[in-house]
Amino acid sequence: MRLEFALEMRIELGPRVHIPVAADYTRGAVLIEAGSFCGPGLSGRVVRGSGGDFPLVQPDGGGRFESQYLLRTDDGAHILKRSTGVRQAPPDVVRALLAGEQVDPARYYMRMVPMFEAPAGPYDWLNRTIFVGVGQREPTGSVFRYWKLV
Amino acid sequence: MMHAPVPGLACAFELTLLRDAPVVVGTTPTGGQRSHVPVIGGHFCGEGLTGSVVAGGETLLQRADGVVVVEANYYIRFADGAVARCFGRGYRTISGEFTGLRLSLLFEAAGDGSVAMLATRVYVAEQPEAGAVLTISRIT
Repeated sequence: MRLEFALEMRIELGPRVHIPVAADYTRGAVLIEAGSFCGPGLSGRVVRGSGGDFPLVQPDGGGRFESQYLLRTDDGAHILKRSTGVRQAPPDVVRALLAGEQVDPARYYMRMVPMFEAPAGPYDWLNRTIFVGVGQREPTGSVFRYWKLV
Repeated sequence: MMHAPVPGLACAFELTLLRDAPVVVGTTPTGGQRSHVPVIGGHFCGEGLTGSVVAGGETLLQRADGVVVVEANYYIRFADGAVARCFGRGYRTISGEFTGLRLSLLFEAAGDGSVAMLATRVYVAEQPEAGAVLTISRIT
């Protein structure tokens, strides 16, 4: 097993809301306002209004990502992206991230494992490939870089 | 501009699984053949941990493109009694550059338990078609 770079995605996020389901269970929700992606043989935009990230948020600011949204490639194919992942960081780093400050992404562990559903054709390799993503929070959005398992 | 780390794969665990006969639902109108493979035992080791697989299963959807979508759940009891749920999704492929099972995996464990750290990282795993062991790597 080794990793090979697949694509980079930049997204702008809307306001975050929290749903306090139970004392030990909080669902977050943040919609994606805009985004674009680019990699070898693959580029396009995130479809506006197609989804967002719905994390399970821990009291310490860590948690689990669960995201779902649509991509549209520059040649018109729609691809569903669903992803789970982990964010883990010391409390002071979490505080800085939540305050929207610029934080060195090496100071937190933010990794995702997305799965894609793409139409049969030039993008159908996405339907059988495992990916690993690294997340980077910026004050106005996020940068995700994805590597494929080969 | 600060750049995020480039991820790597760190060898972490080896998981051997004892599987029972599949339960076959059949070909569903929403697509694919649905089945379930119960996991009835196995062994987990690595990074100083050893454990037994005490329950689990692989829920399968075989698509017409020849790819099997796998949803896995493995419950592991460690030597000190702590239990973790290892779960994830992936594919089993029977043709192409790689044949076998590849998964992305996460863990759940008690927050105050001895294996809580498992839940703080993301993993990927691979078992070649002819192999007997699922090799699990931590994403660094």
